[in-house]
Amino acid sequence: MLRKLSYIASVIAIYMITIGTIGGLLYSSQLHGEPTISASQDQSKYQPVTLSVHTVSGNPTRIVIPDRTIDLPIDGGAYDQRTKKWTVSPLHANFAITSAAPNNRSGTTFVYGHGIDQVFGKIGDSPPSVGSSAVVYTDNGHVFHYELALVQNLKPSDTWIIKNTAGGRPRLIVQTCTGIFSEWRTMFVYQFKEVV
Amino acid sequence: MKKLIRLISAAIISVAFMGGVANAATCDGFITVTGPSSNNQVSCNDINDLVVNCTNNTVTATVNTQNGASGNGDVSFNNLGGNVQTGTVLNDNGNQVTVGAACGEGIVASTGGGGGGGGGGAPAAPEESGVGEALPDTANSIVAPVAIAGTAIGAASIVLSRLAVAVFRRHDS
Repeated sequence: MLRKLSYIASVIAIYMITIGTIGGLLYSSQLHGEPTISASQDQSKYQPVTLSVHTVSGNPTRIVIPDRTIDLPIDGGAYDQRTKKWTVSPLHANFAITSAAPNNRSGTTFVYGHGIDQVFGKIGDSPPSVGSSAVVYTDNGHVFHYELALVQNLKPSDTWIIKNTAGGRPRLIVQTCTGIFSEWRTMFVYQFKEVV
Repeated sequence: MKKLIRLISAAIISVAFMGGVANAATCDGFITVTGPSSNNQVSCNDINDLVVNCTNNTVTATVNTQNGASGNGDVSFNNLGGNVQTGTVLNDNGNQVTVGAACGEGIVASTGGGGGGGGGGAPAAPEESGVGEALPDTANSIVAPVAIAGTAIGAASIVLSRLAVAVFRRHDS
C-alpha cells in the first residue's frame, strides 16, 4: 500500500516538476519577445488640444476609469534605491512622484497599480477602447479629464518612458502588468482633454 | 532627430506661407482705348490654397498680407477727352489652415526643454533620476508562483516518498 502511494506521489512530483520547467521556459521566452502594440492607434482620434495659458496643477488623489468601473485612491510611489523596487500599494493606485503632477500645461503624469481586479486588472484583461476617458482628481479640487490614445506593451527594462517626464504635451500614463507571467508593463497613454 | 525634423518642417511651412504672400502680387493692366461709354476693367483674382498636413506638435505661424493697388490709367489718343476711371481693387484674402495631427506621437520619451516663456510657468519639473532600472512591478501572475511552488512540492514529495519507502522496508524487515 505504502509502495503504491509512494509511486503515485512520485508520478505527481514528476508532473509538477515538468509543468514547472515548462512554465519557467515559457516565462523566459516571453521576456525575450518583442513588445507588441495591443491596441493600434486610431489616427482619427487625435484632435488638436488647446492648451491654456493659465496653468492648473495639483497632486493626484483619485483616479476613475468609467469604462471599467475603476475608482481608486492614489498613493504616492517612488523607486527605492536601497531595495531596488518601486512602491506598489496593495489595493490603491500609485502616482510616481518623480513624474509630472496632473496639469494642463506639459509633462507626463505616471500612475501605476497592480494587475488585480481590485486595482487595474480590469483594464489589463480588457483594455478600454481608444477614446475612452480617465479622470484624475487632485487635492486642490481640480478634475482632470483625459482620453485614451493608445495602449502599448513594454518590457520591464523600458524605463525611458518615465525618464524626463517634464516635457511634451500633458498626458497621463497608467501602467499595470499583463501577460501570463505578468511579463509586460502595459502602458495606457491618455491625452489631456480638459480640467474643471 | 524628431526635433530636427519638426524644425525643418516648421521652416518649410514658414517659407511656404512667405511664398503665399509673395504670390499675392498686384496685377497690372493697361487701358488702351478710351472714349465715351468705354468700359475698361482690370481684374485680379489670385487664390492661394495651402493645405498643411502636419504631425506632432507642429507650430505654424500664419502671416498673410495682401496689398492691392489699382493700376494707373494710361490714356492715349484722347481726342474726345473722356473720363478715365481706374478700377476697383478687391482683395479677398481668405486663409484656411488645417493642422491635423495625422500621426500619433506614440509612446516617446519626452524630450524635455521647452517650458516657454510667459503664462504663469510650468509645474515643477521632475528630475530624470530616480526611476531605477525597471518599471514598477505590478505583477498579478499566479502562474509563476504556482510553477515554483509546484516544483518545490514535487521535489519534496520525491524525497518524502523515498523516506517513507525506506522506513517501510526497515519496519518490514
